[in-house]
Amino acid sequence: MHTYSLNIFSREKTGRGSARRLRTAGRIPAAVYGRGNCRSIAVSAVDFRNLNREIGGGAAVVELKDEKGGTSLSLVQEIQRDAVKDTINHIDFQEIERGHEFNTRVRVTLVKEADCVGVKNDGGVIDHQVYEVEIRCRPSKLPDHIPVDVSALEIGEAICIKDLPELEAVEYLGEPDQVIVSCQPPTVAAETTDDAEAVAADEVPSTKVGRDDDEAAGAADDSSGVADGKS
Amino acid sequence: MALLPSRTKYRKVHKGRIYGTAQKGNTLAFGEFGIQSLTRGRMTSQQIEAARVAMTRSLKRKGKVWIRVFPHKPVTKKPAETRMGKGKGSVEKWVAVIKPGTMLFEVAGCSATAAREALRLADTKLPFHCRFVSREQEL
Repeated sequence: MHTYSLNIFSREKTGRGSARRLRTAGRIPAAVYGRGNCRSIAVSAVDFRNLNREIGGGAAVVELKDEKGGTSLSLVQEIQRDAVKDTINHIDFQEIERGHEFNTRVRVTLVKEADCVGVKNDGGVIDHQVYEVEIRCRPSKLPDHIPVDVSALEIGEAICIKDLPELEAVEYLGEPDQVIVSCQPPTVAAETTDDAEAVAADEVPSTKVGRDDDEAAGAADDSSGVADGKS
Repeated sequence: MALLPSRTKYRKVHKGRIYGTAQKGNTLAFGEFGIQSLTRGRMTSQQIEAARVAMTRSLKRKGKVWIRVFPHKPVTKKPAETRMGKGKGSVEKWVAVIKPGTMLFEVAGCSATAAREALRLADTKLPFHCRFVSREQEL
């Protein structure tokens, strides 16, 4: 496991105004918590961006160095981003202790995706359902990511948390039957006579509405009620 | 079939204004790629359907598509050549209120190139500017 280092600046003032002033000055407001103490800090925006690129999306232990020379190990717990400007608004660091176990979330990456049997032979689709899993380990054993080999996956098969590769001193905390990745059968194409009107509205079963409301059923009776309005 | 709520508490609602940016529904939640709105506006159920059909055709039914918005808001219109008054018009269409940053569609199970092309085609059906986002970009 590689440990990264980052310089931090302690700050006294908190709140929206001081956070905005910090961002204007090229720093990102942050908080460090865990191990009983919680404090507000700031980090250089450029330094953190470089660090984030270096980590590359994997899990990593970051050594925070303050102005007085004190150091502490921590994890990047959460990064708040501006959805439109794509800038970082705030960072949460969780302090951890050497030799003590802690819980964290680690990315799951698919290996040999192109060699998947179900995709190559039967034209299936890989359905990556869970991108992160929760694990418990010591700082020295923290994996960068969890590699999942999907080359042997056939149509209708799935890889669950219990099937994940066993890593030294790493315990998976999620539900053992939680599906991580599965291989779905291909959707059968409808006969296409005219390109303009070939695909009817209900013919594409692989589409899901992200928000799970119960609006899908019984739409017809409401539309009749709508039509009864004043004219 | 057009998207619309199955049951609503009130048949007609006020027009409203679209203030601020999306504070939720602004990140990739299901797929690997998506399009995110950059401006604000309304997206009708017909536009959602047109974009969905464009995407699924482009992906040749291989990938998986998620629609992250739903047209909850009824929009009314008075009939043509009608004098003012006599109450509010009847519901003409259903729209989704879109703020900057809203994730509109997500795609998975296909290559980045195929997803980019599918989402570009979907973008052409929409009345506001969008951008392509992927999980790798978020790192």
